[in-house]
Amino acid sequence: MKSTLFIASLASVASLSPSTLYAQQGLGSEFIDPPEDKADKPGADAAPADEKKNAGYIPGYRRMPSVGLSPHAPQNLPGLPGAVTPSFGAPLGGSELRFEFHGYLASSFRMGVGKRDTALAGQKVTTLHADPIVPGGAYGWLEQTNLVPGPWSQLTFQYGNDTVRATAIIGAWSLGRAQDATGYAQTESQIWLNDAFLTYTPKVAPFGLAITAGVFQDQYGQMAQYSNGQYGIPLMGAIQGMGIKSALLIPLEGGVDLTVEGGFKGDLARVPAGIAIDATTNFPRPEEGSTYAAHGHVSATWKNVTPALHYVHSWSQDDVYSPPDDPLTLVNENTSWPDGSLDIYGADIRANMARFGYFYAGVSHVVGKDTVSLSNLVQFMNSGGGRDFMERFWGFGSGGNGELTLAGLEYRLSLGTLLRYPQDFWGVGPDLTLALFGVYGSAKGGCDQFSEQTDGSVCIPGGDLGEFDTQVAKYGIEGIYSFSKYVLATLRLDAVHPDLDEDDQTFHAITPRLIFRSDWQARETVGIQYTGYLFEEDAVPINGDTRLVNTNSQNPDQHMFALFATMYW
Amino acid sequence: MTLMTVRQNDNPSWIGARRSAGPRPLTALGCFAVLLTVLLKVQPALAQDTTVGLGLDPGAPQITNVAGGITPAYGQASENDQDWRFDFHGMVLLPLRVGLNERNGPIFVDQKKTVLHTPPVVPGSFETFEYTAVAPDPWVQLNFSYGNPIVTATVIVAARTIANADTFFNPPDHIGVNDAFFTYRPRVHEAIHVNVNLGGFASNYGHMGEYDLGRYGTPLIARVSGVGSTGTAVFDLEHDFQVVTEVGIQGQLTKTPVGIQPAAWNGFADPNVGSTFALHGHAALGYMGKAQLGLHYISAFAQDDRANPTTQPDGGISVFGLDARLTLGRFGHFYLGYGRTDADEARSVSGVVRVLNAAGGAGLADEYFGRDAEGRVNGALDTFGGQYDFSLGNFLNYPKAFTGKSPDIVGSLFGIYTGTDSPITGYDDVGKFKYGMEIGYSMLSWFALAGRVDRVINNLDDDSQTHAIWTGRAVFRSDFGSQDQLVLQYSNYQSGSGVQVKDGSPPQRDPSIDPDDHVVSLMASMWW
Repeated sequence: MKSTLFIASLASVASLSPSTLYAQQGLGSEFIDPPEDKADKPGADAAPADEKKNAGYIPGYRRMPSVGLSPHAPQNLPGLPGAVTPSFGAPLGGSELRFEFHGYLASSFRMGVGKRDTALAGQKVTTLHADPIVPGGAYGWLEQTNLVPGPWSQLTFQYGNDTVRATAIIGAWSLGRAQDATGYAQTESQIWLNDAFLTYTPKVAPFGLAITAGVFQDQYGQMAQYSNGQYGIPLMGAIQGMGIKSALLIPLEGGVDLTVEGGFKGDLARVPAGIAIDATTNFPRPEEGSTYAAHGHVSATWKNVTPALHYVHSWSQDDVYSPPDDPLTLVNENTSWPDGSLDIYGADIRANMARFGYFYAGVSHVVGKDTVSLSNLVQFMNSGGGRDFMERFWGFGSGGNGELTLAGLEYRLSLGTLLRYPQDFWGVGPDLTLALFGVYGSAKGGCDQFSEQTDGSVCIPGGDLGEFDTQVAKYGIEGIYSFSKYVLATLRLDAVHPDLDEDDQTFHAITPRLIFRSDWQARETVGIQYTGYLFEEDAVPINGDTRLVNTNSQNPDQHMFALFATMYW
Repeated sequence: MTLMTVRQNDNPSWIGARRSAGPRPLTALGCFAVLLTVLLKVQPALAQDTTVGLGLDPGAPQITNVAGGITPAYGQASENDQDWRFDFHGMVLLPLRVGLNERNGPIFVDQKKTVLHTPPVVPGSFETFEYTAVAPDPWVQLNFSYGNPIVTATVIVAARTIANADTFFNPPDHIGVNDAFFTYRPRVHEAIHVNVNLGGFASNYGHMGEYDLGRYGTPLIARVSGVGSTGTAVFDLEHDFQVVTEVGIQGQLTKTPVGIQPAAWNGFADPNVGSTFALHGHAALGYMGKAQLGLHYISAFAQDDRANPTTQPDGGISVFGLDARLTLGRFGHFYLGYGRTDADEARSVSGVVRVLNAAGGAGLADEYFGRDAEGRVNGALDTFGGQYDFSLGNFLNYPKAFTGKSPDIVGSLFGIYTGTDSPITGYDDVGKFKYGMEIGYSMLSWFALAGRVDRVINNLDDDSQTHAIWTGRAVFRSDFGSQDQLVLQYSNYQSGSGVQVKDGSPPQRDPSIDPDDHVVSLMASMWW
C-alpha cells in the first residue's frame, strides 16, 4: 500500500514526458512476443543512428530500465560461452523459429490374478496384484515379453526452424494420482526432463546431414519399422547420456544410399562418494565411475533393403569412486578396481518389401570386461550398468566379465495390402496383419580375477560365484484383425525359454485383446486385454522378476487383465 | 435423478472437455439415449466439444474454489478470449565435461594411468567464490506463459540434470516446476510503467551482463528467491530522465521440519534454519536508457521459535548495494557495482537470500565467515565487481549500420573482489579476487573462435590458493547471431598447492584431492 501511495504521489509531482522514448508496454514485456502484425520485421534496425532496437549479441544497446534481472530469464547462468551468441531475452530481429508440441500417453489398469498356497482365515485363495507378478514381466531381462502394458507419459516441446531445432521432453513412468492411491511416493518415476537436445539439419545437397547434440537416447537395431518391435528392445543396444552424434547420407550411383553415423557420449555426473545407498536416491552405485561411449554405424540402402553394421565401445577409467570393499576378496576394491569396458558388435538387415511386408533380422555380440565400474550409459536389452549385466546375464561372480550374443527377427505382413494389390491400401478398410517375432540369446559369464576368493578357490563354471552360462529363446506370433472402423481384435501367442537347458522354466502366454479407436487410422487406442500364462506347476523362473521371491506364495500370477489407453500426437 | 446434458461448449477452442452451465433434467429414456450415444458413437469431436459425467472434469484442478468466489471457475469461457495468448520460451544448456588427470598411487592390472572424470574435479563449485562458470553446469528451463497485455501467468519447468544422462536419481536436480508467478502490467499512465510479479520466482540484483548474470553467472549484490511479490514502477521524466523503483517481499512456502535427516534426496536440508522473509527495495535513476545509477537494500530475517537451538538470537542478513550501468551504443556495455553484506546471527537465515551464490547464513558461514563454537554466524562482506563488453565490428562500422550478420570481434573484461570481516580466526580480513578476459572472433556465419583467461585468488594473503584457467573455444552455430551454439572447449587449469576442490555427498572441500589439469567440454545451448 505504501509503495502504491508513493508511486501515485511521485507521479503527481513529477513532470512527465509526453512521449515515451523507450516504447515498451511494461517491464518484462520483452519476454512476451508481440502479435504478428506488430512484430518487428527483419532489417528494421538498419538505422544510421547509434541505436539498435534488435541488437542481438552486440553489447551497448540495452534500453530496458530495470534494477534487476527479469524472473523470466535463467537465474543462475552466465553469459553464453564465446560471447557471440545473444543472451536469453536479448532483443532480436525477425525470426522464423516456430513452436511444436507433441506427446505420447499410455495409461493402463492391470490386475494379476494368482493364488495362495495356503489361505488363512479371512483370506481368499485367489490373490489380486495391481502390478502383475508374471513371468517375463520384468523390464530389462532376457525373457521379458512386453505383454504387461505399463504407463508412460511424454510431452515433447520443440522450438526451431528448418536448420536448428531445440527439443525438450518431459516424461513420467508413473502418475501422481496413482501413487496417491497407492500411498507410495515413487519420486524417481516423476522424471521431469528426460531429454533435451539440439538437432541441426543443414542443407548440404545432394547429401543429407543431421547433427544431434545434448541429452538424448540413441537406439540401434529397432526390430520394427517405426518402433522397437513386439519385445520393445533395440537389438544393438541403446546409448544414453550427453553428447553428440552425426549422420551423413551419401547418395551413390546405382540407387544406393550410404549412411555413415557416429557419436560420442558421456554422463552428466557420477555418483558421489559417501551417498546413502537406499530408495531415496534409487539405490545409486558408487562403484560406477564416469563412463563414456563412442559408437559408429554404416548402412547401405538399395531398393528399400538396408544392411547395416554397428559398433559401440563404452569404457570408464575413473579413480574417484568408492565401492565397498569385499572382505572375502584379496584386493581392496576401494582403490584397485580395474577400468571397465563394454563392446557391442552388430549386423542387421531390414527390408521394406511394400505389399510383402516388413522384415528385420539382426545379430549382436557383446563383450564385457570388468563392467562393474561402468554406469548405465550404454544399455543392452534395456539393461545398463555393471550390476545389471552381472545380475541378468553373467552372474555376480563374473565381476562384469562375459559375453552375450543375441539374434532376433521380426516380420510383419498386411494381408489387406497384399490382397488388394495393385490397388493402394492406406489402412482405411478391413485388414488382417500378421507378425512373427523371436529372439535367441546366449550369455556366457567369465571369471573375474578380482573375484578370487580368500581361500584360494577359483572360478567354477556354472557356480553362483563362477562362470555363468545361459541360453534363452523366445518367440511368438500375433494376428491383428481390423474388422471395423472402431474395433479390432488381436491374438498373440508367446513361448519363452528362459534357459534352454531347464525345461521347467519354460512358459507360454496367450493374449487376446479387443481394441477400440475413433477411426481407421486414429492415433489413440483403448484396449481390453487378457493374458493367460501356462507354466509348470512348481516352476519359478530363476532369472525372472526378482519380485517373485517377495510374494508369500512364491507363485506367479496365472492370469492378467488389463485396460489400457494410448495416444500420441 | 438428473444427468448432465450433452451440450456444445461455449468455447470449443479450449482443449479438454468443459462442463456446461445449467444442466437440464432428462427422463429415464433420455438418460439411456445419452448413454447409448456416448457408448456407440464415440467420435473425437464429441470428446472435445461436450461433456458427459457426474463428477468433476478430471482436467480441472483438484483444489478448492478460488478465494473470494467472484472469479469465474476453471474452464468457463472468457468474454474476451481473443486477448489471451499462449507464449512459450525456454533455454537448453547441456555440457559434457571431461576432466583429465593422472591416477594417484600404484596402478593395478587393467588400470590406465590417465583417468577421466565427469564432472571434472576442478575448483569452482557454484556456491563458492572460485566459481567462474567457464564450463557451466547443465540447465534446462521451459517457460509457459498465458495471458493478455494486463496479466500473464508464467510457469517455468526447470532441471539441473536430464534423466537420460543420469547415473543416479538425485531428486533436487529434477526440479520440476521451479517458478510460477503472475505478472500484472496495469496501464497507469503513458509515462508510468508498472509491473507487479506475484508468486514463486527469483530476482537477481547486480547482474553484470547486459541481459544475463555476466561472465561469472553471479549477481553482484544478491539474489532473492521464494514466494512473494515485487512491484516495479518506471517513470519517464523530462529531459529523458527515468526513475525506476522496485519493492518486494519474499518468503518460504514451508520450513524444513525438525527431525529430518539431511540427505542427498532432500538437498541436505537444514532443519535448524527458521522461516525466513526478505524485504527489499531498489531505486535507480536513468538517463536516455543509456545510463543508470541504482541503489539496493535487502533485509532478510528469521524470527522462528522452531530454529535450533531455540535459544539462539533471531537472525538477519542485510545487503546494501550501489551499481551503475552504462549502455554506450558502439562503445559497448559497462557495469560497475558494490555490495555490502552484514550477517547478524545469521545461522537461522535460510536461502531466501543468496550472496555471491552462497545460500543464507549457512552458505555465508561455509564460504566467508565461518562459525564460532556455538555455531553462530556473524560477519560482513564488501564486494566490488565490474564487467565491460565491447564489439569491435560495431565500433569500426559506425556510422554504418552493423547488424552482427558479418564477422566481428567481441571482448569482455570482468572481475569481482570481496573482503571479509569475521569474528572467526582464519576467516577475518580475507580478500578474494578473481578477474578475467574473454575474446570472441565471429569469423564465419557458422563458426567462431573464442578464448578466455581467468585468474582466481581465493586468499590474497596466500599465493597457494590461486588458480588460473586458460580456455580455448570453437563455436559452431546455425547463423550469425543465432540463438543456438555448439561449443567445443578446452580449459587448462593451473592450480596452486592450496587450492581445494569440493567432492562427495554432501560436497565438502577435500585438501587431499589433486585437481584435474585439463578439461574438455562439449556444450550445446539454445534459447527461444
